[in-house]
Amino acid sequence: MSAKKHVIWGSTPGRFAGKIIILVIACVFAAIAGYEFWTLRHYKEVIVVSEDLTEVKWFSDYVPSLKGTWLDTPVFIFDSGVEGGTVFVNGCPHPYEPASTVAAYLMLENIKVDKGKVIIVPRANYSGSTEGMLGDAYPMFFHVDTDFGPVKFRIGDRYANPLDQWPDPYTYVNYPSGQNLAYQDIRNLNRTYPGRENGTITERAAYAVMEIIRQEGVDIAIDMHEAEILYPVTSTYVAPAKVLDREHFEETGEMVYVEPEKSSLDIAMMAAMNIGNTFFMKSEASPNTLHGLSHREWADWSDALTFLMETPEIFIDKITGPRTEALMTEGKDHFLQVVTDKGLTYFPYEEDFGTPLWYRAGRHLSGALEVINWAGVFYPEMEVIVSWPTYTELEALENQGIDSVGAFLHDPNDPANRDRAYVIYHKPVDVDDVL
Amino acid sequence: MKKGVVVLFFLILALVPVQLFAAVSGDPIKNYDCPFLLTSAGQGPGSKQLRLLINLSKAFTLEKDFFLEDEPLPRLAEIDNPIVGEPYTVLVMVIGTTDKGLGASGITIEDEINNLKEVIAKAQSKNLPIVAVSIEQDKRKPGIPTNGNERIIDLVCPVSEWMVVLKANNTDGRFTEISQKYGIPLTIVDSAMDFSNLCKEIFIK
Amino acid sequence: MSVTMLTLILLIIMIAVFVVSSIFLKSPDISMVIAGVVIAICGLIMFPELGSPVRYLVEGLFVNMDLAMLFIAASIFINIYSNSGAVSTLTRGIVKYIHNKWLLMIIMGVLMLIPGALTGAGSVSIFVLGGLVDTVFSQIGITKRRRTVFIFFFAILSAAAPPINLWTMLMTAQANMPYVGFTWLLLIPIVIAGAVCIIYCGWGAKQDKTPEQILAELPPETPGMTWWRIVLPIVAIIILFILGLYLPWGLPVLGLPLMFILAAVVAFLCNPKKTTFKEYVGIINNTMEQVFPLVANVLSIGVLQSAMAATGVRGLLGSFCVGLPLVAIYCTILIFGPIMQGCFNYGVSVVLGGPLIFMFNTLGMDVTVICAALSLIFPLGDSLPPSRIVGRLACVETGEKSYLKFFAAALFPMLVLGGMAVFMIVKPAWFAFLY
Repeated sequence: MSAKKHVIWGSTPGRFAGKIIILVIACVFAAIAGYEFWTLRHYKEVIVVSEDLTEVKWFSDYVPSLKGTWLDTPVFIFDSGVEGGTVFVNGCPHPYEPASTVAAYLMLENIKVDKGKVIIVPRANYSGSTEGMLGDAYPMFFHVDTDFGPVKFRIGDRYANPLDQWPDPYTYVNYPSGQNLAYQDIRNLNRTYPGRENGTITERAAYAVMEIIRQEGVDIAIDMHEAEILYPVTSTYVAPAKVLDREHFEETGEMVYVEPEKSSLDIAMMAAMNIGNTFFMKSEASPNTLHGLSHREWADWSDALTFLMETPEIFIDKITGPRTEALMTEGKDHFLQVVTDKGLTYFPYEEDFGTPLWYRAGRHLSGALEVINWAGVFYPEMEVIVSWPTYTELEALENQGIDSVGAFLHDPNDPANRDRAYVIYHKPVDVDDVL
Repeated sequence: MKKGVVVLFFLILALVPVQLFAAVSGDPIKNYDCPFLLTSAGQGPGSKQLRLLINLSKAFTLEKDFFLEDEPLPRLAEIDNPIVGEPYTVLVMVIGTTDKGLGASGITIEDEINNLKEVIAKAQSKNLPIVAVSIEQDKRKPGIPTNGNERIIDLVCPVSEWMVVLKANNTDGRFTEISQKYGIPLTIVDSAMDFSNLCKEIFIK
Repeated sequence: MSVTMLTLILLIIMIAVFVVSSIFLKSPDISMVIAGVVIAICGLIMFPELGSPVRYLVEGLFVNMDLAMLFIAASIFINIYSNSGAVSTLTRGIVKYIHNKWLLMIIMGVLMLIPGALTGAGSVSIFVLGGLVDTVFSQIGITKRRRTVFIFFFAILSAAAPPINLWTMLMTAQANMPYVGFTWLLLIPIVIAGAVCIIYCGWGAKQDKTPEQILAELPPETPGMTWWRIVLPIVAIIILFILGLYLPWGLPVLGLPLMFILAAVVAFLCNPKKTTFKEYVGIINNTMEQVFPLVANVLSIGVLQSAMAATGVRGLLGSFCVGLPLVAIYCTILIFGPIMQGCFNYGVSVVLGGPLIFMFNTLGMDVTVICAALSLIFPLGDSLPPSRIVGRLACVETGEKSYLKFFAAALFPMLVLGGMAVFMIVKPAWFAFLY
């Protein structure tokens, strides 16, 4: 290979000056971008948690080695004190699917538990929420209007931040299935289940989720996601039809799948049929041969009934027009309308309506309630009586021209709410230091 | 468990009273004796959905009055050697492909269609009538004849002796067209939940 | 004006700026950045709500950071390895013992497949073996142009070859498919196309020198070089690969760059020649000079990619391709696929590959076969502007002056591979037995 010599100091003064100018421009770009990156990484969201809160734990309470890492995250527990089932709701496994986080925040701020216990993790992949989707030009933040002014929320990446876990292997091998997945999926929380206690920090976070489900005796585990409308599994509950025979696996190492005693899929199908009167939702069975995902591994490695919910999120479709904050919060895009008109999408997309954030968050709120209700109907010992804002309530406010998401958020600066204000960060932070 | 089912039954009645009055239209319903065999045509979860609805009716017992077998080879064997102990009187094929199975379900649409052809041939050789059911919503892709669901409709419906279809799945008149072309009766139901009551009228113990 | 028109104008501006800038600056890399910055600014004027483009342009620099580091590390390895005399001794050995032209070409072809197959990057095959192939083939009468074609073509084949095909990996990741079942689907077309390329490049080449004459023209044997000194560095890298694949949970994740640096350390320890610290500094300096254009290329393409995503130009291209009638896709995929690869590098899998997989799934076609076929088409774009990474590298390796003439000569084997891939897309069911 011929190596061309690049001479810097010996060139003409004009060239040298040109290089200096380019260097200065690069430094200015780096400084501006660096400041923005820093702002995103360290921005702290504050929420006002419902009075029903009984305990706050952290992922590091379940996997101590996560303490001090950017994948540690708060776990909010609401125990009614009345015997019943236990629900686990996982928010923000993929931060670039923000309706998941918004739904979790709306749950946290407004939850009322009358029977059983509810555990909510609003930002399961905290690290991933501290950077953007590289090459995808995601906005860093979106805003929600409230009567106490606009509130800013982070978006984030699909993966954990490489600043926290790097490098990636040349191929990712899921534990313990041994299935090969794309290299960057080693930083994908929803590909690393059931996780490893001593693995990478993403695998440890996945293990922490499994430990919450196992140690807290979770009966119903719900994972909230969003999906592109070109993907057939948008607007869907995914639940396992069959689960791993753990005893057989431990004895032989062979993965054999059997029909479970209690069927998540039956509940998902029932929920989908019933909620169909409000918005379209279908159900799909989790394939036995695709590993690392919550709807497969949670069911295989715990006794919980597991459900993954997908809402339609066009930002993920990649083939959208200009990627503005409004595209994220309103979801109105001409290119996807064209593709939908050709019958290629899996959501009755109408550009005029779009896929607004309230709609997606509302689907999660009601979708989760539907599953919890039906699980209690099928298995009364799992019954949990819980309430939070529903899709219908959000829709009614929107019809009045009110930002429905904002309407259910509380002002952390209001003295009446101050003692219930929590900073969502990767380590405990005093709310007075932020507000 | 029994208690659960009872509670469930009453709750369904309470939660969705409209379902009590099954909105059924089109051709009159047909009757079949038990036992009957359910299978999926496309490996989607629709057959499991139908099993759930039949279970909710509390009128039938799995492995006695009916059975579900989706796996390609076992379902062929099931027609020959029924687990219920006596020959099946009808084969209920629930149309719908798996959406979650992109490369992961372990079976391609071609494999499934080839196996379904064998299942149909076997049913025909044993004079086992086929009922085509389309219960899963939003699976169809009208206007895309190569889509897996559309191909399975073309394969199963013309050889069936009765079609029971969700109203939302026939908005383009696809099943009406097949009904007229092949002279196959078509019954339309408004909601998938309707099957829970309907099955008690269809199947006779 | 509609979004379609505005983004179309941006696309035209982007192409015009790139072409004009390439003509004046003679650097496709800087031109890509300039085109990216210009459409980002124009995009901001057309869609002010996009906000400051600085952050996403800088984010773009990090899209291919891992790839850039891999290029640097692999080049450092091969240069230290070559410096020890291993490559020249190996070349002499091959010339001495293998006299049959076809056998020689087959062996070199198979060897070239390995580095890219393991790393997923065809450029690594050129770094590791390009020089050796060029030297050996020049001695057996193969013209410079055909040597360039051979090196280029086997490099792109190596990138597509299993076990690591990054395009397939990225598409399966997006479509939630497991990365399994691709071995024969990829390997068989690669072997056929490779055989065609060998015949094409070797046809008519006359070896008018005796092996002795050739040996006399080659660099002399390095004193003290033994077979184990040649083999150990290669064994080291192979062992690291095998451990990563088969003992993924017993070792920390090293990442490809560190694996090559470790192999470089082994090569350093195996060096029989006395080499001073200053000489090593020189080697590393030279390596950076060699690899700089490639690093600049992959980093620049990320900037352009981000700008295209943000402004909606990416959406325009993607939705247009996906929205084409099926017959039109069959006819044009060999044009659009490679062009998009030229624009987006591996990002093509996400921008075009993912939506196409969903589209073909909707059309009821076997997506595993189609995914493999697309992974065979995209690498062809590594010969196309703006990036033309592998083509450029192959030309640099052999000293080929006319890129256009090289490209014309490479068209035949490319069309053979592309033709097979299109056939797989048209009749995917026929190939389903391969997985």
